[in-house]
Amino acid sequence: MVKEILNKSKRKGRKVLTEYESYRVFDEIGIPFAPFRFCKDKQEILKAVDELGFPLAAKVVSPDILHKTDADCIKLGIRSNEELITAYEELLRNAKIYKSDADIHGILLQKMIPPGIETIVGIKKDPQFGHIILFGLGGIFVEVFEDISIRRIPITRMDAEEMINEIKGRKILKGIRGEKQRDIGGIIDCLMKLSFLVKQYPEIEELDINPLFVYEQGKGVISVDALIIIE
Amino acid sequence: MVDNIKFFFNPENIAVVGASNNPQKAGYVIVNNLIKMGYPNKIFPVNSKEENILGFKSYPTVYDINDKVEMVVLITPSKEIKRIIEDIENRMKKWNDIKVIVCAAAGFGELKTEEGRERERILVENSRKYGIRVMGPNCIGVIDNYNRVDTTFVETLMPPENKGKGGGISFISQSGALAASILMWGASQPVPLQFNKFISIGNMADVDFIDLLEYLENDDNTRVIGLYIEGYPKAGELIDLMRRIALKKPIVVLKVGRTSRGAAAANSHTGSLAGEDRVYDSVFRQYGIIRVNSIDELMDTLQAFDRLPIPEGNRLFLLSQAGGPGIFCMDTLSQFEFIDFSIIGKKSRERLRELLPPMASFCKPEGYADISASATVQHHTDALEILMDDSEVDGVLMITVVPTFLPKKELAEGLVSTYKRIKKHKNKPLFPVIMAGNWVKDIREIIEENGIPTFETPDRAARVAANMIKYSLFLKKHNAERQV
Repeated sequence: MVKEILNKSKRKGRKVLTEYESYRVFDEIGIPFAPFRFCKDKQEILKAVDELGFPLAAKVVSPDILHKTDADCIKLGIRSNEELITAYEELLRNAKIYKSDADIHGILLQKMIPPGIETIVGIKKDPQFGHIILFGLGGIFVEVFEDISIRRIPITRMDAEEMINEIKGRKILKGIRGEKQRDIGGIIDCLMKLSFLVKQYPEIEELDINPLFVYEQGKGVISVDALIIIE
Repeated sequence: MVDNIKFFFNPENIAVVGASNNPQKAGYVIVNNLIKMGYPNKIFPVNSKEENILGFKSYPTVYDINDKVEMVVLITPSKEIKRIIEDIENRMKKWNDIKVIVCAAAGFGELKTEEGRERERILVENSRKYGIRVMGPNCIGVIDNYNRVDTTFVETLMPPENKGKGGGISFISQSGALAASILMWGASQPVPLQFNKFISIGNMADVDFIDLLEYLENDDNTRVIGLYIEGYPKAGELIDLMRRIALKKPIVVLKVGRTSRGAAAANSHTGSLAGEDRVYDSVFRQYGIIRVNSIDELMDTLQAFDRLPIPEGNRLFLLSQAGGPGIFCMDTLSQFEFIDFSIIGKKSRERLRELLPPMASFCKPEGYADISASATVQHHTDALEILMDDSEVDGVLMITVVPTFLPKKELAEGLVSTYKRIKKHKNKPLFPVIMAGNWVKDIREIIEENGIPTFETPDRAARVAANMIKYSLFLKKHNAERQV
C-alpha cells in the first residue's frame, strides 16, 4: 500500500523516500522499473547477484544523498563478483567522504537494462498553483536546453499528449533517421498514473523519475531512478 | 458585499473628495473627466476652501452632501485619510448610502512603510465595517463606457463621439501608468479601441482581480477580458476562476515579472526546472488563457476578439498582394505549429485562375496566394470572396500594400462590402493588413468603422490570428474531452 510506505517514512521523520521505497510506490501504481535488490551487507549482495545476474548498477541508499551522481555514489556496468565487491567498498567510502554522518541504509543493486531514449518525468508542489507535472527529454536535453513541458495536476489524457507534443525533442520520440516511433502511449500512461497518485496523496512534495527509459512502440517505458520527497 | 462591485460601474451620484479648480491637479481632472464623459447623475465636489468647482457647488465634507451618494472618489493627500474616513463614517451612520470608494490617492501600502500600511488599514478596515468596497489605493480609477462613468485623473484621449458607446473589451490593470498609456494608445488607433469597463486596481487593498473577474464573468457586455498582471498572492484561486471564465469568454493576459523565484530551493530536478514563470506560462496554456508578449499584441488581440468571430478551426489562408510582406507573414505564421494552411477546393482554384491577373500565383504553397501588385480592387474582392466562401478555409489573413494607382476609398469599401456579404452565411474572421503608415490611414478608418479591425504589419496580424486559432482549438479540445 502506498499509504503504508509514505506513513512509515513519516513516522521516522524522513522526508525523502529511499530509492527502493520509491520503487515500491511505483510497483503499487503500475509504473515499471528496472529489477533490483536492496542489500545491507556483502552476503546479501552476493546472493542478489544470483537472482539478478550481470551487468549490474550499484547505488548507495541514503536519505542524505539525493543526487547520487554528484556524490560519486553510483557505479554502472558491473560485470563480475570481483568488480562488485570493489564497487561496494568504494561506494561506501565515497558516501562517507560526501557526508561523514550520512545515514546509509545499504546498497541497491539494479539490473542494467538496455538503454532507451532518456526522458524525465517529475512532480512538484508549486507554492502558488499546487501540484504540477513535468515532462522532458532527459540527459543533455534537460540539462542544457531545458526542453520541458509542464501542466497543473490533474491532467487529462489530452493534456498528457500535448505535453509530449510541446517539447522540441518530440521528433526524437516520433522516430528520426529511420528509427521506429517510441512508446508514447507508455509515457502518457506514466504521466496519468503520477497525476492520479498525487491527487490521492497530496503529501507528495516532489517526485523525479530521471531517467525514464522509453523503448520502441509496444515495448514500454522503464524507470531507472526514482526520488520521492514528502512534506 | 460582492454585489457592491456593480456600483463601481453604475453609481447613483459621485462625490469627489479633493476636487480642485486648479487644472494642474488630479482633483480637477477627475471632475472634468466625469463631465466630459457625460456622467448622467450628480457630481458633488468636496473641498472646504472652494464654493464652486467646475460649475458644481462644493461641499466642506462628504457628510455635508444633502443627497444620495453611492460612490466616493478620494484624491486627497494620504495623510488626511483618518479625517476623511471619520467623515465617511459619520455619513454612513446618518445616510448609509455609500457603496464604493475609488481611492486614486497614493501614499499608502505601496510605500512599504509602517505609516503607509497603517493608512491603508484605516481606509480598508473602516470601509469594510459598512460593507463599502474600496478600489486602490494608488490607482488611476474606473471607466464604464456604457454608463458614462470616468473617475480617472488622466488624459484618456477618448474622442467625445465615442463616449457612452461601450465595446466588448473589459480591462483590468495592476499598473496605473500602463493603464493610462493603454487608454491613450487605444484611442490613437485608426478607430479608437472601444472599452466596456476599464479598471486600474492599484494596491488591491480590498477589491482585487478575483472580485472583478467574478463580476466580468457575468457581465453580458464583456466579450473579452484583458489583464495586466505583475503578481498576485492567491494565484491558485485566481487561475481556477480564470479557467472557468475562459470557457465562456476569452481572457488575454500580459503577465510580467519573468523571474524564477522559488526554484532555487528545490531538491529535485523537477523542482529546479519548474520556475515561476514557466509554471504560469504552462497553466495559462492548459486552461486556454491567452498570454501575450507585448502591448501591441495585447491591444490587437483584445480588439480582434471583440470584433471578429472566433474561427471554427485552424485552417488559415494567407492572401497577399505583395511578395515580401507575404513571405514575412508566412514566416511568422510558421512559428505557430498549430496553424494549418488551407488546401482549397478544385472549384475555388478554377475561379481564382479565371478571375485573377495572369501575374498572380496561388496555392504554391498551399494556403497562400500572391495576387501581385497589378491587382485591381476587383481582384482583391474576387479573391477574398472565393477564399472566404471555401469550406476548407476557417479565416483569411489579407495583406495589401496600396500602390498609388489603386483607388483607396473603393478598395476599402469593396473589402468591407465583400466581407459583410459573405459574413451573412459564413461567419469567419478576416485579418486585413493595410500597408503602410499614414498613407493608408483613411482606408483603415473606413474598414475599422465597419467593425473590422485592421493591422499595421503582417506579423501583428499573424500573432492575432494565431491567438484566435489557439483559443478556438482550446474550446474544441475542451468539448471533445467533455464527451469522452
